[in-house]
Amino acid sequence: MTGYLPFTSDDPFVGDAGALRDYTHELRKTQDASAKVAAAVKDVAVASEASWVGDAAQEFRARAADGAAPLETLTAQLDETAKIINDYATALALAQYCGRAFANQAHDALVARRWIQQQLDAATWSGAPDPFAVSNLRMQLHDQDNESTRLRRRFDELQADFEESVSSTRAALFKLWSLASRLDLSGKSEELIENPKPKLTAYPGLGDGKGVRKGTDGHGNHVEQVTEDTTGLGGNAKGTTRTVTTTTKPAAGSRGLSGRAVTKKVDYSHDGKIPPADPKPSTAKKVAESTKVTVASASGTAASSRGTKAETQGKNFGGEAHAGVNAKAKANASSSIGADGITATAGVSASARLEVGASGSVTSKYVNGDISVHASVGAEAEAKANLGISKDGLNAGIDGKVFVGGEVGADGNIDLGGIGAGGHAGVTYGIGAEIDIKAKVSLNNVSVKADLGATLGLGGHVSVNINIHPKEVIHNFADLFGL
Amino acid sequence: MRFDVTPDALDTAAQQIRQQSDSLGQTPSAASLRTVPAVNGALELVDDLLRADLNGARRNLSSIAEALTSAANTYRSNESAVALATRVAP
Repeated sequence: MTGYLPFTSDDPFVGDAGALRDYTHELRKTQDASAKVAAAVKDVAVASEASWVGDAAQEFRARAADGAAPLETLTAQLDETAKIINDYATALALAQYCGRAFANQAHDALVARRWIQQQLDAATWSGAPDPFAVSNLRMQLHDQDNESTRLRRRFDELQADFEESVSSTRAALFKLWSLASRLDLSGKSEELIENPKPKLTAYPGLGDGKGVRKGTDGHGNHVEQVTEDTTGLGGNAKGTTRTVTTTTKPAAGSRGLSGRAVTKKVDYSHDGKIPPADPKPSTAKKVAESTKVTVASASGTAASSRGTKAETQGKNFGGEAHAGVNAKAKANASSSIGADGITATAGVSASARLEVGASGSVTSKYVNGDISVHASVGAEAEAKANLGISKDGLNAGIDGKVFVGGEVGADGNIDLGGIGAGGHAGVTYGIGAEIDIKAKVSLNNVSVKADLGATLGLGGHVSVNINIHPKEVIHNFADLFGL
Repeated sequence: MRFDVTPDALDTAAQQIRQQSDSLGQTPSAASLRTVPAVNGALELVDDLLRADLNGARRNLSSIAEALTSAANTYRSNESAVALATRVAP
């Protein structure tokens, strides 16, 4: 049947039960593999005890023990997730099947009622209605109304059952996630703060570029200085090396260098720090060797998930509220040098998804009693900055606007229903590179912040932040329902 | 299970551990699943969790295999040294 269906114009039972079962099947396959690997690792470790002794054997068995336990945990998590999703898929399939059946029957009842009504109208307007026929039609009409009411009630019950399945599925997944994340959810007004360390995939350095300076020293000798930076193995921040090769050619008539060119090569190795400034030949002037060379780049990402819960007491609500947040942030920056000067770009972005829920006792004009509410919200923020230094001076741009020096303002702020997100880009002067990504979660505030400071030694600064206030979200959510 | 402490046997054991790690595959993604928002959000959290735990398990297995390979190389090196010392001994 197509076209109008009674009860609802939206699909109250969203989802593809088949796709959910396929997902469950894949989880089970990974679960089986994980269980087998865990057993194999333990078997090998136990078998080795009889014939292998010494430091190497102890090291192996320690690593095997460390490796087997998380595999068993993973196996249990996969099993639990598969069970939860399978139960949900069953509830969804049942709700979809029964819901459509009820809706179809209600549609049929509606069509029948229209036909009976037409018959009744015709009988009434005929001028000499047959009392028995009219009475009969009215009874049939009444029966159809009763049938529609019955189906409506069954559909409402079905919808309520499905909503309970949604709620229990969500609660079970949230519990699994909370326990696995080793969150202590028992405290009151607990605040969990995490500062994830961003992983640098590359570190500021000259990379593939090369800088050349030419000039004269205090004795009039010609000096050429080549500066080359290489990043450590695998793009790791550690092991950045700057090599400075200085070649000095004697000026005509010079006595100090015996008429020969002298080359001096110095390697500077650094651990996580930007290489030191190389010694400049006096009166040297900087020249670009190629049209454009990328002199530095950096990027970092961080992700954080946390949850908390607390007892809360509002105007109409007393009970327990909980919040979980999944936050991600990225930062990147690059700088290049060319004939026109130096340019740098930097960008950061952050996103956060907040899941909040509350259950407890409500007293309002609409509802009295125990309730459970849930809300899911998300926010994203992004900021970009461009910085240029040319013979004409310093210029910086954000979203097409041009600023000169100093700190520049924020833009893109929103604040709605306890959710705030903003972007900020600024220009500062300084040296060094720092990526600071933080996520903070509490009942009062969920914030995600990504800050890329003082890039590339040129002085770029960008940051974004997101703020979500679970209490406000919960209250605003409750207000929607008149709680 | 029989466990031989020879360089080749240790290498073989390391190889088997690596194969076991490969057999774990990837966790299926829940990203394309269409469900009601309340379930979707919670499922995404668990999806991220499983992915992170699986990656951690892989790293652990790699570490275990590395310990076996390292031991094999060490014993192989010792055997060579002993053989050399035997040849040059008066």
